[in-house]
Amino acid sequence: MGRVFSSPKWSRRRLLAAAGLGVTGTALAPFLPRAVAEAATQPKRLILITSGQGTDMTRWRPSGGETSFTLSSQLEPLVAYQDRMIVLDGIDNEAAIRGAGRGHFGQGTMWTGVEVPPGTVRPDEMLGWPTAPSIDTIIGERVRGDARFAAYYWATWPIATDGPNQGPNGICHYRGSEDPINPQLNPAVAFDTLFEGVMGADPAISARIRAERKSVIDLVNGELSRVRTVMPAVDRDRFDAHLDSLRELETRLTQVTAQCEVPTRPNDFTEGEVKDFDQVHVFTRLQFELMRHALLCDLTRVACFDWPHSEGYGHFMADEGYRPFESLHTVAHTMSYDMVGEVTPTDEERAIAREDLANLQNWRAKMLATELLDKMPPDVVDNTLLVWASEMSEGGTHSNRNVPIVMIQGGNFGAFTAGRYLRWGSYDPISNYSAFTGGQPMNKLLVSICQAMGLTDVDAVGDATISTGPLEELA
Amino acid sequence: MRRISLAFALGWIGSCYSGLELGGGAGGDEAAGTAGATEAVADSGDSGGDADVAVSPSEVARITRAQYQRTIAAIFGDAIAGVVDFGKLPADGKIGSFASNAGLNVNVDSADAYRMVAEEIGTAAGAQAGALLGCAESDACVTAFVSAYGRRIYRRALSDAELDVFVQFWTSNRESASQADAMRMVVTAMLQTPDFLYLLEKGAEEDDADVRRLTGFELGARLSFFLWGQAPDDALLDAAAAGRLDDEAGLGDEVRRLLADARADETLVRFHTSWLGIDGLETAVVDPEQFPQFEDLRDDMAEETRRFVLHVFRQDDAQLATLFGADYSFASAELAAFYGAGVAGQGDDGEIALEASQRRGLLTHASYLTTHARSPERAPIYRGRSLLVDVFCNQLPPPDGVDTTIDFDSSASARQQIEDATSGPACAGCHSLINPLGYLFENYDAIGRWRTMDGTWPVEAEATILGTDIDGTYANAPQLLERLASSGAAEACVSRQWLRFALARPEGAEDEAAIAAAAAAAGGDMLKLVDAITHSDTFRHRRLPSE
Repeated sequence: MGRVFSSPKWSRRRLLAAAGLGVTGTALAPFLPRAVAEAATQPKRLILITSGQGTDMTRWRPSGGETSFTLSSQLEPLVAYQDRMIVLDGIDNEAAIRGAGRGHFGQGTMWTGVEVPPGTVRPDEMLGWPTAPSIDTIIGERVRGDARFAAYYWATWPIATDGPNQGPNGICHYRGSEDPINPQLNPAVAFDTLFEGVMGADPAISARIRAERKSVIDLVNGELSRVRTVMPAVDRDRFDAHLDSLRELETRLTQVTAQCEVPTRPNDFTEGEVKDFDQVHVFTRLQFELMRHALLCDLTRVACFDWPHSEGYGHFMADEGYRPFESLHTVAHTMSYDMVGEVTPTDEERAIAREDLANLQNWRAKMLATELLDKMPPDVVDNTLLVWASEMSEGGTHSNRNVPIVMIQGGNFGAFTAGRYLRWGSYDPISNYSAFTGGQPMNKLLVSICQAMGLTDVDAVGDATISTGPLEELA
Repeated sequence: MRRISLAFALGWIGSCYSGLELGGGAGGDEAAGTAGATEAVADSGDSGGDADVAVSPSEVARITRAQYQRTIAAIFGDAIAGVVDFGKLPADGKIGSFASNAGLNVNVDSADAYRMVAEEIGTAAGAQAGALLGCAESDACVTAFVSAYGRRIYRRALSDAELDVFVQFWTSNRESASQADAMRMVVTAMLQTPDFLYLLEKGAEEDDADVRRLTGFELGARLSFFLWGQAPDDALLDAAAAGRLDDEAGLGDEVRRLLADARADETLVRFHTSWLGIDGLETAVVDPEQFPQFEDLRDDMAEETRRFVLHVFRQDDAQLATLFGADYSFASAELAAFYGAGVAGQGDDGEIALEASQRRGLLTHASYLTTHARSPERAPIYRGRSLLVDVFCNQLPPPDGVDTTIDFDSSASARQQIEDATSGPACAGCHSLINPLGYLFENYDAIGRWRTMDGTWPVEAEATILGTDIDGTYANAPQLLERLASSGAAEACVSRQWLRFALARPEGAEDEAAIAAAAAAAGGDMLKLVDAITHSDTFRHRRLPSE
């Protein structure tokens, strides 16, 4: 029922066994990499979580005042982190609102701070790729130190990352102008990319693999350099870029990383399997486990994760102890009070849909708490900033105003005053978020995040005509 | 043709005018280096080579994921290709409706992805090292292997220096490695070289020419990736090496051979499913509560289109009029039942006769109708857009700064509500062109089932279309589709789409001659159209982009 891909040739049990889940759980591996051993050398880390389609804002919003607030039912699973939390209520995804790429296309603007321009990437909407890097790129390049990856990107299939639906409605992160980053959907591939050569069970074998890869890259380098000189001069930029990428790849592949414990390699999955919406919960756990270890091993200091947005299914919720639902897209539309289908939903149908979305957000909060933060060593969490945002607020309105954002700042992070619920602007509790006024532009938050990560010279991110400077209230 | 029809439309639809781009290219910013259709044709005759040859500029581009995968299967066999996860390859970009990597750099993640896939293929090849070598290992044997496989991978004969690079690589690795490991390393390296990953087109002319006739090997590669979606086979490489692709007759022989071969089937299907967006069916999201039948029919719908296209090209007359207007199709028993009264009769092998007042041709396949419905209420807009853009090759500006939300309710039919929402000055310019084309398909619900009621409202499918060269009032889609192939604009558009697919780049002003000539030569026969494209100047030359 409702399965997007029709032939899953694998069982849930096999998946769980592959991850070592459901059997013994994933107790934190008792290790401390060299870099992690001394608190003084702990690098700052950034985790960006994107969950699409907004939520039911009335069930998301905390109650109470700035410093004495009670988390909503949606965010309740994160209550252990409330003293380190900043709930941001009133941030506008302004670049989405200004440009042609609204609604879902706010995914392309939320971390870049620039409009989605006209173009041919999405022929139906005639939209192109954003023309600026997202903050993960900006920050990752600057804070990576010796990390193998400037940033790494995981996702459970956000549908519009590849294939005919590809577009800035699914890709949130950008390496530069019109340079979308496809998140890694397949945990096995993520594992291979991240940890190969790191395991070092047998240092001699690792050394041989490194030497082999270097020799292949040297050969390819030679061929590229030859082709570069033989081919017309106008083609050279393309080959120069390729040569640059090979150089970085060589560093990535040949670097000896501090020994650290790596998780069990997940099974190989087919493309259909990793794109099965009914297994979002399983893949979320697999990806979070890899993310934790990648951060612990200092393979990257910027970790990004995207959950499926508009068109996922909610069947998996049954496995997680919630009421299942059908298409997330339908649910989001049904919940709405100002954008409805051919047949106007009844109040009861709306109430159910809103509850489904709230449940989903509650499940996500639970995943962040139990599968990510709780399982990271406290001193790593202490030096990590996690930002969780959606490109829109109430899913039904598709409004990019007043998007829900939660930040959790580690105890040693020290950039913001935490334990706060910050509100801007005015909203009507039931609805029209398009008419929301008085919000703060996301661009200010992007600057604040850059500065918090040590990029104190950054005063504007994305379109500087939207705003410059940080979100002062965070200090 | 296309521009004439558009200009006609613009004559009295003012508000669509200001934003409309008359340029033919759908390449977008990445292809900014290539000419748009509005660029003057005349200013190109100023440098050496075949400067007066009509061809627009192209940038060096990589092969696509599908081409990579099919090439590996062709060169190394299914046993090796079968164990490789090609899903790891970097995602393709797009030109118009078609996969293309024009204008895209290899970033470090793409380079790493190519590395991983090459290692998988290398490992699988290593396990069959003896069989691949095919002789007792010796310098001569290794050289013969590198020469033969290198030619398939590079799509040309390797120079002595290039041979030496790989033979040396084998030899030095072999000092400390097994035969399998030496094979693994050589294959892994070859598959990461630019000669494999890119379509390198240096051309046959001297270095200062802007327009270059492709060498035989380069033309062979273009031909093979176009018609087969994979690298040339040995016979095509032999023809290229012998210079047989340099003359019309020799080229024609190879084009006929390739087109007749079963390896072209995949391309015929891929062209149509990409062009018309039907490749989106696999991931189309349909509300299972509203359309519980859909999930079980999804694969059947795709199969209908596949069988129909192949039948039109392989068994029938390959006429555009047949593609658009055929009174037959192919359906599983379930899909035929779903079509209901639209099926007039059923043959043994799944062929169905269509009740022509309900269905005819490709554009009434449930696959197409579903992909372009997107939502039950908005279907006329998306279907109309597809007709206008995909079939008539008109370009539309984005609905810039306009709130495109329509608050559908039960007060009127969806058609009426679309009409009301898009009749304002900001919308009508384009929607007066889009909507009528979409309304003609109102007899099909969001998954392509025939209907006479839209909820509680009788379906109104009759509409008067504008902005085409077959303007007029039609009762519904089948009536339009009966005439569609007689539209010169549609005929030229199909030619444009095929050229775009063949070149995997946006077309420019100097490709217009090839588009028009191919359409004229074809006389509606799509196989002749493909043949004509391969003989065109634009297909056989490369113009360098200006720096």
